[in-house]
Amino acid sequence: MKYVSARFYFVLFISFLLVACEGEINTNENASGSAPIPVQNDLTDNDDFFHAYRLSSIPQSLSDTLSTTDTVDYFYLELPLRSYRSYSFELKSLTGDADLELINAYLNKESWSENAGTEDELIDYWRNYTDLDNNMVFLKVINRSGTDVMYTLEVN
Amino acid sequence: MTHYVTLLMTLLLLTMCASPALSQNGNYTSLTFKKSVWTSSQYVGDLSDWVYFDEGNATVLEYRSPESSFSFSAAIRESEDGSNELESLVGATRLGDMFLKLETGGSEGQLFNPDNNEPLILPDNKTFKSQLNMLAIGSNWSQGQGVKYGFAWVNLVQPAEIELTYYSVLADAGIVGAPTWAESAVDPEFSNHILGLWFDVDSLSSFMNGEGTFYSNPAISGNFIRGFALDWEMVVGLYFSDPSLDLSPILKEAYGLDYEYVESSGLAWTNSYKMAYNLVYRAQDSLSVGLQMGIEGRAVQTLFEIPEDKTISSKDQVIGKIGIGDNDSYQWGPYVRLAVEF
Repeated sequence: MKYVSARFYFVLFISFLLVACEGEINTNENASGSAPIPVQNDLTDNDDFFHAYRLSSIPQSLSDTLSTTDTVDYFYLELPLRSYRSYSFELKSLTGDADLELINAYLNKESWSENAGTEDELIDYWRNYTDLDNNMVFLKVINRSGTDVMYTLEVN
Repeated sequence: MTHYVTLLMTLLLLTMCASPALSQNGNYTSLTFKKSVWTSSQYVGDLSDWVYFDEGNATVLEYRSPESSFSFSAAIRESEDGSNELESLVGATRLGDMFLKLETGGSEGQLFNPDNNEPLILPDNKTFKSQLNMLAIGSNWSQGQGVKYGFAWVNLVQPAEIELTYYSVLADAGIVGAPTWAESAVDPEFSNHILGLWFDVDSLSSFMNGEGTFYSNPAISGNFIRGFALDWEMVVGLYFSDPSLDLSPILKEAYGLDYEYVESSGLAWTNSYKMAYNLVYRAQDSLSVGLQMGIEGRAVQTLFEIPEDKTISSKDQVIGKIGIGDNDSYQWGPYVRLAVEF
């Protein structure tokens, strides 16, 4: 009887513990301040998603430089609505090793090009109707060499 | 293979060194082969979709003298790619009337988001190393039955889901021009600590002394003792945690938001069980040979969290918090254990 009693209280104790309880994080309709606004027009300050340089038209071509301290550049592009076709993103005229990544609006990598040396980097991206729930894409240019790298980015 | 030879040599060395001092105390040595699996399949929430553990085999070498002064156990894990790594190291010693046990083990894994249209914050480095460490101090129960009890500290390092909360009006829409806000982030090596009561039931060593345990059914036939048993090791106590990944720069660079993390603490437990079948041959009082086969498993769970409510105070704020159960852990696998005591 003594053991039965001990087991009963043990099960009771564990049952009490299993009644999960946790704190809540509340959203607030009356939160103060302002929502931050992305800065998308500065080629000298496009080192993250929130400062990705906006590519306003297709086709487009622009040139920029990566250094040993400025190792990544981000670009932001809104693909045309209801336009189901192939897009090409290309890094040309490289003076060093650099790679190119295509990242969707959900921060997931869609595609990438990692050729060695100064070989051009090319991403062909087929956009179909299933991708229409968000038409934003980000391009990430990465310096893989230990020196400055000049490049030309072409979007078609 | 080299590791196995090393382990066997260590076993022989320990046995030889310990024999003179332990011949009167019950010198116990065992070798265990087991399939070691860290699994994310029973994670709460979506974490099971994002975390992938390697599977492997483990060999456990144990030298233990429960009534005396020294105990040692080591496991080498062989991954599917053929590489070996030290999976666990367990040592125990007796200080006066106290029993001291130290255990460490781990497994490597990877993070991956299979749904390209699901916003999720993952670290740049998608590999991680999970770890389970334990330090226990206690003594043998005076009634025997293979029971030890005392206090323990458990440290579990593994991936955990951090839930993110935003300003309500923008929570669904996000900010135009910024990536879609993620509802979760994965901390690859989130550290959980449990500090509390510890007890351990070991049927094989108990059988080898001609005794049973709480949950065993020893049948004696001549010099043989055999039967099924449930071995159990448990630590229950205070829980607190320590994140490894600083999400502040990630969320700032992705969304321009300021990050605040809410600490998590409460009660948790870890259960390690062995559903075993023991077969022991006792030649004399001074010699026992044992075989144990079974399934071994371990669960680490948060049971109760001390509630702490938070409210978004400004529109550029995001709050992160781990949900109860989002850092649970399960391991399991079959094993065979051979033992000799003299």
